Amino acid sequence: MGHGTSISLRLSAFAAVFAAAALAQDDAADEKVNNAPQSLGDVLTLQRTAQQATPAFRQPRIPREDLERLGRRIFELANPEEQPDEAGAPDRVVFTFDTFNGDDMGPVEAIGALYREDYGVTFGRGASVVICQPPNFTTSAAGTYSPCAYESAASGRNAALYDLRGGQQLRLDFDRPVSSISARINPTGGRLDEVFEYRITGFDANGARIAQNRQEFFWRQDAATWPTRASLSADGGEIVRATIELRRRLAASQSVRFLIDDLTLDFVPDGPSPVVADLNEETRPPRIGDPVVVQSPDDADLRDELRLYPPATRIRVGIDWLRANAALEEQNLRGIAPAALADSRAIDRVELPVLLPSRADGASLSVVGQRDSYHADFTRDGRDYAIYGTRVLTRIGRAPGAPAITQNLQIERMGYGMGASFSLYGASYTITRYCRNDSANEDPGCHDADDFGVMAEELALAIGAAGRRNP
Amino acid sequence: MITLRDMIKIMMVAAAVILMTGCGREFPSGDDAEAPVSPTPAESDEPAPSEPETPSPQPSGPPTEDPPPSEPAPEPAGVTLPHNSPGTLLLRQPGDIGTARNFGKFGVTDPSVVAPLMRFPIDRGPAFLNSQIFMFGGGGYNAGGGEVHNNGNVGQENDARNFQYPWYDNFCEVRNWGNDLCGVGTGHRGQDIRPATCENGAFMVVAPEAGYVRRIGDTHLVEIYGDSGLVYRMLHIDRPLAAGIVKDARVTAGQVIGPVSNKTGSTSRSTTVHLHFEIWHGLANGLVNIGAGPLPPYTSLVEAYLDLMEDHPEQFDPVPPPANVAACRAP
Repeated sequence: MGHGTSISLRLSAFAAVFAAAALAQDDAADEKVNNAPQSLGDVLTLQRTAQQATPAFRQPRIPREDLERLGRRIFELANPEEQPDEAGAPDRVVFTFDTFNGDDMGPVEAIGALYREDYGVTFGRGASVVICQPPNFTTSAAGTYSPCAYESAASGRNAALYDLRGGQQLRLDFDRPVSSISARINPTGGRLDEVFEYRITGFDANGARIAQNRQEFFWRQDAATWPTRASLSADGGEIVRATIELRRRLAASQSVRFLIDDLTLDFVPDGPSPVVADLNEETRPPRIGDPVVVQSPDDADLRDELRLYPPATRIRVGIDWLRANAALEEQNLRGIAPAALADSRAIDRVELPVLLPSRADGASLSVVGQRDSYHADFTRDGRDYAIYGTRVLTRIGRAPGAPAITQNLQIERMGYGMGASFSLYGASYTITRYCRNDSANEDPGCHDADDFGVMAEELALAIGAAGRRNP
Repeated sequence: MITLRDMIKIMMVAAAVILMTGCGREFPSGDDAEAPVSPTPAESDEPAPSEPETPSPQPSGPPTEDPPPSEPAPEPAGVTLPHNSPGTLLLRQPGDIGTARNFGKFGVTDPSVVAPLMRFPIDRGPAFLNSQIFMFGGGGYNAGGGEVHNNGNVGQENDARNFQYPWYDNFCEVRNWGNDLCGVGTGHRGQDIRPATCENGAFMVVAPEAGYVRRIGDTHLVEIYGDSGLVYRMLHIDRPLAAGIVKDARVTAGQVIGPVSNKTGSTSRSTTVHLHFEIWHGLANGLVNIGAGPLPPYTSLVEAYLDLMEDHPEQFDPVPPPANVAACRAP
């Protein structure tokens, strides 16, 4: 899988973000520093500019049935008609060519665009599925010559044949970029111990060749084991088109027809989780929508309780349910769900989008929920976190001369932890990572921006029963 | 541009500050969780050093775009609490306003009570809200970093002047931590509360409101998610905690949580004996959502304390501090 690559990119991305924010806050003790990139959006932009090759934040796809098997609750949409039938394609697909076209396929079946709808993969001209099992070793069922003269399929019954027909290379086009490609490969004929060379080449969206691998191998004619696997890694790049070809050493100027099986594609995982993508867009502190005052300085009951000072104004803010529901829909399509919850009923009381981690250690995630706020805590990779969200805000005047707040996402470091505060979908949230021993001085890694960032980028969304009414 | 109306407000607030400051005497230093106590000459019977300079309360700052604070209500009959107005910070030294370091510059002057029904978070009075770094024995900010601070390393934690009124707000006291509500964009994020004396473990932290204990930190942090939706983070609570205080335990307002201590991290005696008290909620600046974070708790504590004074007047007789500073550091 190509996840190792994407993870390392994520780390470097968040290192940039949080390091910048942390430096800014170091300096802030001495002077006002407000223009450091503190939003995920800013950082994401910077990261993309710096690396060019791939977006920084990734969220692996997990098949829906696996989510359910793992005990992860999938929060459905309010409108059942909008429920996705199933999660999208997972990050890795292996084509064995066996389920293709049912049992009624002929001995040779063109592939073309038949995998496109399900997997976004289009095979170029000359590619077909062939039956490669004993009855067809020498002749097809129709009595014609079989390309599987020496081998049965590497797995199952079928393999894919690339037959030149005047072409030079098997072409594969990907609607969704891939990070690596591999396939078992065999010629359809040749002399014993003849040397062949495969070439597999990847191209990016601009048509530039970004990766190539070529290897010679001896063909033993006993290819039932399909010992040669042609492979290509994009090394962080995104391949949208690939070509595969096979040449004889003795006639290297000309490619020959060949068989492949177990074609394996690692798709580049999709961008950040929908929640984080929305947060990336929310770079400025947003204006409050549809506020309702739920407590005011004129509240007679409270004034009776207080002697000297007035009660603060509290407002209940409107939620952008349209946007939150869209994020949930995309999240479900992509197979992203909150980490396993021992008891998720607390979420059903909450009338705001509930942000939760998509990964936590064991069953550590727990939630206490009220109508207008919730408090979640969990352990992840041995570190303790809390997420607090609320749609009731306290209106408070800031100190004289307080610097303007220009960024939605605020990164905070405290003596006992590290945190991020932001607004999303109208509500307010804060994420806290607690230092071991409640002390940053005793836990040098506590303020590690990378670690914190990796957790934050995998936030998932939950909308419980109360939230589904979009109150 | 300062309007006549602004000028009048500034004069009124300045007058209030002068009046309130006159209610007390001088108060001096201590230390905070985050700025370790400077080693004092001896944790012994050493007499208090010569009188340091009187800390200077901070005059009110210029008008801002935020709504002007309401005027304090008149003192109720029966109970009085000498305290500086909200946002009045104890400074590093007189004349600090406008200096390059901006130590303690501009606290939150908005007097709004963010937790109007809160119970005072220490079990009994009296208690004293002031600085742990600029009072006696505090060691200043970044002690050892070359900074000169108001009371230097003079005094000891058991100095009686640490346990006198008036109170000071230290929500915006100098720290490196981000705090958008404060004048320099950074600040302490909470309020330090000294119990009646510096005796370690002699006073108890209690739940400010009913709710759930959501975090019990490894050494000294306890977090309560209140039924009002506010979150209370409290530091320097020693272990063991009171019976029944476990993760996700349901607590009632006033229920004992654990002892006020001088513990920070795994090290005892690493700060003065005090409670660091934070209240978290969603934040609005006018009609702009500025996320969620700590709110200034000062006036909420004033109100809760007045309740305690009224309900338990017997608790508020002066308590003599230990004659020996070592008593503050026991065990």
